[in-house]
Amino acid sequence: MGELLKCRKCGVLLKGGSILDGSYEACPSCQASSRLKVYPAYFDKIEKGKLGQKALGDKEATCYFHPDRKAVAICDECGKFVCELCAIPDPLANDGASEGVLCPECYSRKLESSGRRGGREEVFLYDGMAVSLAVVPLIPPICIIMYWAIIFTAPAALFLSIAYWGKTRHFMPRSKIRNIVAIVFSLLQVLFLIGIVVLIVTSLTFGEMGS
Amino acid sequence: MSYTKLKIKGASMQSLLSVRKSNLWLEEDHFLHVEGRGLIFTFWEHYQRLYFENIKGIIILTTKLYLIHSVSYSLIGLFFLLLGVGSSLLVSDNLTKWIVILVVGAIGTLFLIRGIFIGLFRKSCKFLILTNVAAIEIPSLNTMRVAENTEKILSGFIEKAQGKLDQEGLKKVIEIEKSDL
Repeated sequence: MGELLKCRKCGVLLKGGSILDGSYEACPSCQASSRLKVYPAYFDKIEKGKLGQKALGDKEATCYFHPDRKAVAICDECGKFVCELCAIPDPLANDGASEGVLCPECYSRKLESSGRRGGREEVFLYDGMAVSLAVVPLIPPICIIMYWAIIFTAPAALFLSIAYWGKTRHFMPRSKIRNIVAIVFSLLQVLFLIGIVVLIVTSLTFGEMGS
Repeated sequence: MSYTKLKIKGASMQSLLSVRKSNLWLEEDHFLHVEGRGLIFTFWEHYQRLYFENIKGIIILTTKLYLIHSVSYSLIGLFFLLLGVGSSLLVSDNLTKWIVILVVGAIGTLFLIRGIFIGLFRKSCKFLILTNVAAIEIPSLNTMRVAENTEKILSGFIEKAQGKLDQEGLKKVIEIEKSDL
């Protein structure tokens, strides 16, 4: 807290009028206008993590991850001793008998294997890349400057669209139209390249025969 | 999952070819911000889930970036227009002269129109979502119109999940903020 009334650009204190009436408030220093809408979650407090007690002597069990901290629990999955900081309540333990404690390693492994997703994720779209490689080199300014690029881009687009057919991992069902467009365009380009090669070879051959 | 796509889009041209598109998908208790990047077609997608009950505020901060874009596009447009006029003076053939004027002039006009359009209608901003742990910027929601529309839509869902702060609550927020400084 204490951050909301600061201008996001220069850090100068704002009056907070925008919170009350929803209007834009100009910063007295940098003149950047901003509007802030606040919701009840503002009053939610997050508990700070406890660091765990220091181990007093050699005979005391210590945390696997923090050797100077006293162990307070055992990981339900791997059996490692963990301190107060590393003892994470098992989010998937719902047997009612025990809360369940996991070490950080088992926690992330279990979350991953359960199919639960984290807050952020990134995905590479093979079909998008294939269609980009197949179509972008044909766009007028590029095809004039970099016409030679299709020697590389067309086979690459063809490979990507065939080898990764239906393998693009997306959170929603995705049509195959990009793959089809990429295959059609890259095939035409490959045929065009083959045609040019054949033309050169035949003209060279007939040229030699003629001379 | 049964996501519903919000009929709101934000796109920002990073350069002439690279794109950065933003889509918001709604679920019951959260929204998914999908940011696509690529070269005309998107081939890289970045997902970010934000739960309505965790959002404590939304900030829209105006920026002057649109002025830079507007002036840049306009200058490029003027450059092409001058180039068209200049090169037409150098060409003696009448037909070639008109082709040069038309092609280069059309490019210049397009840039100029885009520059004026950005200056008048695409005022830029930053869109920030505040949670208890971070202020998350959604980079593609960078024009005022799109940002304000998105805020309106999201507010409905957030207030459905959390309720609404009355004037007393809002005054309390300001008091707490001032006392913490």
